[in-house]
Amino acid sequence: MDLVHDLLDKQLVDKSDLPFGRVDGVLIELRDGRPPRVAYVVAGGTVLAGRLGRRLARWAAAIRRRWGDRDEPKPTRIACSDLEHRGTVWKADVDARDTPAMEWELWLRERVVGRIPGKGK
Amino acid sequence: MNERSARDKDAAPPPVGTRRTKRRPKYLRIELLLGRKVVDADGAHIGRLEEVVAENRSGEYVVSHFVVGRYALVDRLGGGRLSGALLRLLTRDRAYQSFLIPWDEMDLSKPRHLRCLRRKGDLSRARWPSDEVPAAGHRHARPA
Repeated sequence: MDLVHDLLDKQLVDKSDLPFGRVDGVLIELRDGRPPRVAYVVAGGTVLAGRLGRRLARWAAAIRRRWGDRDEPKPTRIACSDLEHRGTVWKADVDARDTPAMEWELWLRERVVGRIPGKGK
Repeated sequence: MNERSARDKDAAPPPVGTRRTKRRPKYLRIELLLGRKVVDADGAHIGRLEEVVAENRSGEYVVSHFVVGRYALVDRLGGGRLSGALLRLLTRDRAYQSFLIPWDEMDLSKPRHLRCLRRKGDLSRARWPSDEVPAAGHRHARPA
């Protein structure tokens, strides 16, 4: 598997096939005398912003603190052992609603989309 | 900026709940290593890190090779036969200089200054993927 080509930026779906983000980062664990292990994938706006620059990552964190969760941004972290390749997507053995990845979408649904006149009609 | 802080900048924080001990695992985020310059044992420029190849061993994926090359970015962006042929024409085959570095030959102790422990001339060349059918699902045909 080519980690950049086959894993990075690919769609994640949860165990009920609900899309909940993309693979924004891949963590490898360094081990003495053994090959690095692909440990986790991470997803989240701040992770993606971090790839584009440290300043952008700080801005993204500040925006989140200002309008969203006031705690430190928590990227969704999924163990590589919980991932399964399904065609063009990666299926994670998690419930998306239990992950921070859905917080932003739920916040938008509640605070913005839910207040648009005519929604749901 | 001292050397230690530069080294630690790309190191990812430990997973939530991991205690800070001397033997805590060290993690690297590969997306932050992409595009970093890689030098060989003599300090000569090899190229930039463009791909990390992992193999499934006993149920877990482990890194087997790093792909480094000057034009491997085209490969990463899905360069097909047309772009390959164009690059070959424009650069007289130098576009195909990409190398496979085994995991144990890559010094990851300083993520901002990646260093291969071999000399550039001793490295295996990665073949242009669109020239041959990839083996075992991999895009980079590996030398035997």
